[in-house]
Amino acid sequence: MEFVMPYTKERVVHGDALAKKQTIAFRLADMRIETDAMRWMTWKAASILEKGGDATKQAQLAYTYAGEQAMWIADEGVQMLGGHGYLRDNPVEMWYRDTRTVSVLEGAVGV
Amino acid sequence: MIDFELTSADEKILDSAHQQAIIGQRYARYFDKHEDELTPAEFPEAKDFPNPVTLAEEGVNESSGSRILHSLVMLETYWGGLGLHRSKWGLGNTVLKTVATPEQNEKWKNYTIAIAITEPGAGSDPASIRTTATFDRETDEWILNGEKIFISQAESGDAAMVLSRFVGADGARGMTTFLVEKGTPGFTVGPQLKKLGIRSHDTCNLLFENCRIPEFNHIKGDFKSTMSVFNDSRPMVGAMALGVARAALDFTREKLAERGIEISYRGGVRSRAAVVDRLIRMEAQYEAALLTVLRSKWMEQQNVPPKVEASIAKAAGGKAARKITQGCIDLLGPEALSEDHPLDRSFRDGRIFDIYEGAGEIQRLIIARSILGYTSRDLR
Repeated sequence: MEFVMPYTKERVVHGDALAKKQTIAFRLADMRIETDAMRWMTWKAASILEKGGDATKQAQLAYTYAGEQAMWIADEGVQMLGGHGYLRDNPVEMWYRDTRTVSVLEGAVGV
Repeated sequence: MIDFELTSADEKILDSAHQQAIIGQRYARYFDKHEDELTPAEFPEAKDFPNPVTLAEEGVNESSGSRILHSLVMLETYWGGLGLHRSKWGLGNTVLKTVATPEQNEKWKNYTIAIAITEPGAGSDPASIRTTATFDRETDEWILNGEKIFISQAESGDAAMVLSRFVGADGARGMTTFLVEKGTPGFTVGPQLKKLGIRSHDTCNLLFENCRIPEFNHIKGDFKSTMSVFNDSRPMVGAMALGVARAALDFTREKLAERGIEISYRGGVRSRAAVVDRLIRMEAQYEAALLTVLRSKWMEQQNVPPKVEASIAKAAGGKAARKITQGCIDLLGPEALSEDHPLDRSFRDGRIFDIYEGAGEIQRLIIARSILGYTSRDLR
């Protein structure tokens, strides 16, 4: 988000900054909503562990949600940069590749 | 220290709220089918329970604070579908409390005051309202003309706080609010609107035809102060939405258990059945939205205005209620649609939260403007 937002404010398409188009602005708003949600879910699971509690459920929910949302954010980030997002000159394609691993990292436990 | 736990005082109040919600759920189907009947100010069982909203608001020792607790009480209440104690507080009361003179407050403090903003051509864009108030110099009265639609507490309330354009005696123009009491000539309340869901929720249109209002009823809230009542209510609506969503989730989990399907959080996605995976993903969405509501309410509790966070909570709660109530029906199949169960009502009730009190799109506009540093002129 920190990388994509300045780009969408600078990039002019059909006479207006990309970020001034609702289809882009609303997706940025959703990215903000989901990063907040992921953060609090992670903190909640972590705080249960910190106190020595059983965080199985909270950890599963936080992990599952982060797996979905991080991928979605990286995906949309690439999309907003268009062709530039596809170039290895910019980091978004790397984040797109990196976040793809989040939901498969559970390894043997997942099976 | 980061702490997500409720105190035992919170849990006691929430447990009482939940017991009341179980009783409320028994009445919910009746009022879903009889939408022209108002729910009683108090159901018979209410005498056995303290009003949980009052307990939350009065601040109980050792609680997490009235802001947080009130939102969680509303979540429990909406789990059941209706409260045993009808709310006496309307958003019009919030306007009265924040902008009225002490004399005006004294006169109407015990009224239930609906807020009347939306019009046929002005919903998400309230700056377009066309209701007018003209000052009559000879009688010192205002003459109100216009139509307000989708007004909550229209029939059960004692008065309406009406946002109107005005032309003053000195020719000044702008927007302002008037308190119009029930029974004022020229003020008509329409029939109950026929809605998809929340049918027990008192909702009518209001008509003002040459309605004469004394100068004393001019409350002098402007556009900004009137719209600011939604800052408090947005995360609250997120909590209500999550009450409906959790009722659907609880019911679905219970029915799946009857079919021998248990939810395990231990394994990963490749170790669980699709139905379990979908339920876990819906639970995650519920939890995600709940934590944004609590974040917003926690900020209020710390006296930090949750401008963006209030919109995040509303948007997340509204979306969660839509997706979860839709998804639960998929998991249970045709049985879910029976009126013997609460799920079809959850599905219909759950659809409102992404529409009223600022549609999801309006919340996203607010969030986007804030994170991009745009004004309402830059991004509309």
